[in-house]
Amino acid sequence: MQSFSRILVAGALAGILSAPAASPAVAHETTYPHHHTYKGHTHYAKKYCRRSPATTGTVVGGVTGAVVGGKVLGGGILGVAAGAVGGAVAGGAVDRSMTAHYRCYYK
Amino acid sequence: MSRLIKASLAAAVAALCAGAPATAASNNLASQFPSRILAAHNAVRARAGVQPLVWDPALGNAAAAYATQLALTNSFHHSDRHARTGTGENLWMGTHGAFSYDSMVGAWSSEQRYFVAGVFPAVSRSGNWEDVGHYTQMVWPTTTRIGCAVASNAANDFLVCRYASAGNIDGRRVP
Repeated sequence: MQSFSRILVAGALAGILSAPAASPAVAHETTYPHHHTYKGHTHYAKKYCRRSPATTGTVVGGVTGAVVGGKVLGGGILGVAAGAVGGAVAGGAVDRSMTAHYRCYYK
Repeated sequence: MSRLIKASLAAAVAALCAGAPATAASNNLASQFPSRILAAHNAVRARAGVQPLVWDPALGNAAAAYATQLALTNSFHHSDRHARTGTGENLWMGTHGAFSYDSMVGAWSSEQRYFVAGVFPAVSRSGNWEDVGHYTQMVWPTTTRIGCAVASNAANDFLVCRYASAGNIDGRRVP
């Protein structure tokens, strides 16, 4: 159990370290209420928000967990698999908790 | 790590966060900003086949003053056109610390996917010039100078770019 905890921590750390820089991918788009005239036209600023899919944290956590799991749990496919799953879950959770709801931009 | 080193590190971080006194690290960050923003613009302009822009510190100072004003009021709207005669303006506001400079400028340049060459404002595949307005200012043929600045509050970063001469003028061909 102690080993599994260490894997979770390793996965979580991997998730933190790999928290991705926000990309401009757009999942949701709404019109921002502020508007103004611009060169004789009315221009409405738009809001773009994106909830993190936590892909980076999951992948990096999984890979790191697999490597660490293979060593800590004595090698073999079970150790690697357990590490990968633990790392992926922890890394994804950390990535999601750090980035969800907190990425919006206006232009 | 000794207590002294920890204290020194904390002081260095505090100095960085406060923006003063200037350190080598903060000087590097500050000096990278114009080149990063300029390079992002000129890469887009090169693809559009128009001349590169040069950085204008006076435009940068004006942009900094306005970015600070937006950050202090946490508002998002263009500056009064009469207060910046002859210059165009692109604005970006987003979650503090979540976006790189390239992402900010990329939000503008990505409008290229709706762009069709033509006479402004009939330059958008969508039929709405607003969908390409930041991009058309970036690649506006007669714009030669740019100055930009970023300001932040606890919630948001604000990027303001000023362009001279101004783009997005009706009746002109783009690019």
